[in-house]
Amino acid sequence: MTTKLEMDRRQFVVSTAIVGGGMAFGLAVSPDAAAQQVNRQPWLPPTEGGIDISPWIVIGGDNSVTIRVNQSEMGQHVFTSNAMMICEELECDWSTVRAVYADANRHFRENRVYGRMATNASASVREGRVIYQAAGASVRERLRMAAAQEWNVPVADIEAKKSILTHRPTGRTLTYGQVAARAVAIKLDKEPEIKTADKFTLIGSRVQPLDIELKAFGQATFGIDVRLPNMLYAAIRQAPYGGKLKSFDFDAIKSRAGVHSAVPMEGIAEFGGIAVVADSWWRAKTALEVMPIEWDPGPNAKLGSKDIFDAFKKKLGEEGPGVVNDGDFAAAIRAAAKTVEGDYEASYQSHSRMEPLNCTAQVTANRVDVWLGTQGPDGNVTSAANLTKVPMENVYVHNCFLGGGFGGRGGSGEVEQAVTIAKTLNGRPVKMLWSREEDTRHENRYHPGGMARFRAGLAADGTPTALLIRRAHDVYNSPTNLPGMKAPAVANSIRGLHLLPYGIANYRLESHDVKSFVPTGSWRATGTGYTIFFLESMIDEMAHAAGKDPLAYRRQLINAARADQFEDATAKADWLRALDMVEKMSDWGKPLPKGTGRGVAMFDRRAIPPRGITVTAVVAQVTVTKAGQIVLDRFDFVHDFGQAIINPNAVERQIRAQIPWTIGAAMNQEITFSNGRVVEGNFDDYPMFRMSDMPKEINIAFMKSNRWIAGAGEELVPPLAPAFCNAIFAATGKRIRSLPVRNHDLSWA
Amino acid sequence: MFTLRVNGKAHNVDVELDTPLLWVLRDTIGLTGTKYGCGVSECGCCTVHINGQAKRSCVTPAGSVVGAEVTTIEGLVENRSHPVLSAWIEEGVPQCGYCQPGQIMAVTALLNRKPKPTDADIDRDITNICRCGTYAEIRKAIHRASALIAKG
Repeated sequence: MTTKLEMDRRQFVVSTAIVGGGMAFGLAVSPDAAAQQVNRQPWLPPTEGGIDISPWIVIGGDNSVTIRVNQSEMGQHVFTSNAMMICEELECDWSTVRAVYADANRHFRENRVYGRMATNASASVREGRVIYQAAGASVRERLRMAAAQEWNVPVADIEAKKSILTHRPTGRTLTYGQVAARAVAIKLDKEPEIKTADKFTLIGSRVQPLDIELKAFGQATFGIDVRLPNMLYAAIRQAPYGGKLKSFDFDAIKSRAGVHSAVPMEGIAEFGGIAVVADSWWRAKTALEVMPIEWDPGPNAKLGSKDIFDAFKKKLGEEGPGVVNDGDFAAAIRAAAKTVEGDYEASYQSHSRMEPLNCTAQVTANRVDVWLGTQGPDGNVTSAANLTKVPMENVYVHNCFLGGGFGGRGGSGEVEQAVTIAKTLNGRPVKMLWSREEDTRHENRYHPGGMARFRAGLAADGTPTALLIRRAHDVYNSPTNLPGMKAPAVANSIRGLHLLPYGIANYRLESHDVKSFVPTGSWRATGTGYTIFFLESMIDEMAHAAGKDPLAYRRQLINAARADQFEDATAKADWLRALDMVEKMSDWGKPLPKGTGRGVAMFDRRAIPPRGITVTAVVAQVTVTKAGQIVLDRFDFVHDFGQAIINPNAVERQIRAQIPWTIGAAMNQEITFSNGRVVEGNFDDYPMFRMSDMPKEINIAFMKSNRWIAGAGEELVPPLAPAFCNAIFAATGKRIRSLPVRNHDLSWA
Repeated sequence: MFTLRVNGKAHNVDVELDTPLLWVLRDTIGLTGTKYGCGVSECGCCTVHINGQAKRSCVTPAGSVVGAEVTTIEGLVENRSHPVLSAWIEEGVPQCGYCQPGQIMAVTALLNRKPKPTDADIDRDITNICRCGTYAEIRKAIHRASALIAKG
């Protein structure tokens, strides 16, 4: 249902004022907003006007450059890193660079011009870099040609630097802004080559994010902050999973101050339920709380965590489909001198983003506008169009700052719900906001729980000769790929286990998909968040059984691995190098007092080519008090740098910040179910990591390598939890086989 | 109808007296820098100053602050060179940025009381949640702000 609009570039410059950005309503913009590098309403450009020289680039008359970013800003500073990739090639003056979201509406009007608009899978740089560099290089060449035309000189004599075009023989100059109008009409015969990493001058420098001041000053507009004239507010409650709304008694609340209406939300799958609309959110929420509602609880009404985990346990006792079958596990385990075995368990997790999910919508007969922070604005256009039958060309998603993403924001029902409510309001806009409790109890995309059994056989010298890992898990987005899988992506429930980095001759991986009633979805690092907890803990158990140092044991096993167990030619050497580096920097082997221990773990993302890898190694050091209290002493990280990292400043922050995310979850977080519902509701029973939990010391070392790394926002989530739990074992002798750790008594005498 | 003093200005508001101050600030007065995170005083996203003290506005009934001076992030930002704001920018603290106004209000109140906080003071006093996990940068920014204040 997309219509490709054929517009020449000049025409677009004119029409963009009407349709681009799609603001039909004036939101109040403070006078200082114009001075910002990113508009406080990031779907709007920081400065009006300019020459729309490319879908990605606008050159202002003031010689500023506004870069359109097709990814969502959720804390990873994507406005800055993506703008840097264009600026690198465009040779513009960084101090004049501004950034704005690419418009999902234009994306559809112009034949999906912005490519991949979803922000997930660490892909912003990995999949965007070449496109961004090419866009910048192309415009630079057009600007050079425009200057050559202006002066009637050979283009080879024109240098582009810091937004200035210089005619080398004469020293004459023009600014980008002065020639942009002419450059619009120029078409290149051949697109220029993009720079290789050794030519970078901006990429790799420590750049202050463009939006840092907006965020520090509380001026960034998150979805929850959108305010429109005549706007109503909605609070919602969603139906139990598998159930539906039976009845509600609006009469009981309609006389309350400010209450407008109650809207059943139906026909939107697991997102259905009931909304109360009022003139303020607080009035809507408090009215909803007292409105009598009857639910048809559906078939899951009696189910709870025990049922889910009992089903996993039952499957652990059954031989499963063999996903990997290297050598002959059965024979090798019989021949083993020693065996080690155990069952592992990981809990369900919620995203619990600081900004609860929300969406503001306005629906008229021929136009739909939605405002929200979303990881998938293009998908939101499609959903809103489908629900309203308004053509996609008339659907506008105004992407806001995201108060946390971490997987699935924008795709958890917010748009479907807000549009459903707005359809009943005769064109009035409505802001639909989930309470924290709704966000915890019905987030629609839980990180699924699961289990893993392992059985390892060791030779007399401790060398592993046989390993079985049997998974039984809730289904993560998609079922496990079965034998013969060379699928584009390995299922999240087994990724990281499908191709070990260790040389173990007889390896069998089995996987049982055990679907529960809980809707699941992507969480930071997806399935590797638990598969690597299992694997790296199991390796530690094997090292212990072998009587070997766990770090040295890993070195031995990596050395024993075949080259084809690693993604690229240098990866095996890089694993060993990372291990050496982390050994040195963490003072590995240096004696520690009783109650203090170190643990190590590694990972490289184990993706299927060409998605790439990021080699990481972690050593955690913890102290466990006699009372069983855990203190985080120190974390040492080795992180692949590849050929280049766009902004090391931003990446270091991501590295440090994965401690609170991962250790917070491993230590304390668990979503449980009872009577078909989530038990936990707020941060009192789903506790968050806080300042006082932070380790005293964090060290980061980057490791240069030949590859372009796969990503940097979630690479440490997989190895952090096992390094932490291995450290607890070293400190106490207690092996953590189930998460969260708080369920274990760690006291010692 | 009653009157609240926010950032030095009087606002007549027509809401129930038990409406949490947070929602009056955000939805009635339109100051959206103060954020909603939990509604039960756990996360601190909604931190404002009431007569200079850090308070969580999600559990503060609006009617209880009649006559008091309420300061929000918008009030603090009127002085763009405030040492806490400068430190926050120099350290590049925010990731997603959502919790940061609350963090800044909590830190400002701490530094007003205790211009040279120790790490233990910070651990005890700054209990706001940051889901992005910017705690290391927040701590550095607090010490930097403390140094800026000492320099005057």
